[in-house]
Amino acid sequence: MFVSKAKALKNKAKAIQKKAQTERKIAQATKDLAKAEKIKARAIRNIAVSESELVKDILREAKSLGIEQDEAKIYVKIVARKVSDWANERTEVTRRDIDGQISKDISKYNADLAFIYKNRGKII
Amino acid sequence: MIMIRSDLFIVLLTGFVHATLQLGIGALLLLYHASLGKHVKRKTRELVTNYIFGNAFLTALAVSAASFIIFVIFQGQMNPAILTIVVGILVALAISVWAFYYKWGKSTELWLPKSVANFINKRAELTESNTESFALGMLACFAEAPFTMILVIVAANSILALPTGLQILMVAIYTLLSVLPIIIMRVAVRKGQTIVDIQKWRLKNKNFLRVISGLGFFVLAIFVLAFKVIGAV
Repeated sequence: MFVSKAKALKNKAKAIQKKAQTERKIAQATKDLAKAEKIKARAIRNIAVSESELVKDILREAKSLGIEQDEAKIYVKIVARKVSDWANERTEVTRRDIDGQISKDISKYNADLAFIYKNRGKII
Repeated sequence: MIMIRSDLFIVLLTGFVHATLQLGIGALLLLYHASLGKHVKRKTRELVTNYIFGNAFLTALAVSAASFIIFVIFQGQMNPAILTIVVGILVALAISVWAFYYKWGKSTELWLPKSVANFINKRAELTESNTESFALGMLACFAEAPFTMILVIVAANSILALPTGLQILMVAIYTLLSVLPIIIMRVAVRKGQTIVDIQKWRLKNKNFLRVISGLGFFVLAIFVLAFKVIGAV
């Protein structure tokens, strides 16, 4: 009789242990999910590279270097489209990555603009 | 007479060493870059002039305030014991300039924490009015205080040793020397140099500027030691 009671208790303890383990696993999974959602949200924010914003940005840089806007517009649109396509192919890109890519693509058209993008954020 | 000459030389040397520091030039370059992309040239010129005034104003104020504080605390000039500490700090700064004033790598990034550099960068981009650019000039001057503070103290101490008539003149000369590089930069842009040309020059001569600056601190330390510490004992 005592043996059967002990067995029952042991089974009960095992069940409680299993339940606790499952709850721990669920809590961990919830945490992981929240973390993954945060990372996803950040990635989405980073890959939202607008072509029109890039065009505006490059034209502003061109103006600061005294490059004729009409002349710049010819290649700025091409570069902006290329960079935008390049960025949208990736899950996560940073501002520095985009500047590097612009520098690379624009170097064929204007060396000074390429230099500006290469050195962005590295002046002080 | 020799003491007056040595004091004059120390003030000029501190002004020169102050001028070799790069934050003022860097911040002005950022302002030029941001402003030329947004405004007409005339507006940019006004902003730059106000930036220079802001920088000069804070420098002159710092030298005058340091002179007053030294005069009040020491009833004249600093004593040789304090000046020995100053010499030690100057030597430490000379080593610091050689070692980490510029970050290593192919850029002209300075020792500033990234958050401070980003803040100055952002302020330069957002500067629209003359008041803001005046404040930016003061901010750039203030951000370099860890390096310039000791120079200002040394200059103020030597200015106090000069005849009264010369004191105000030397504060003005020190201020002018310290802002001379940014005035030269303004003239260079006016003459047709672009910010790319200036930044390329800075990149090319980064190591030269590092050596000159460090050497300046070191020579100044020797001068203060010779004329103000040993000479006074």
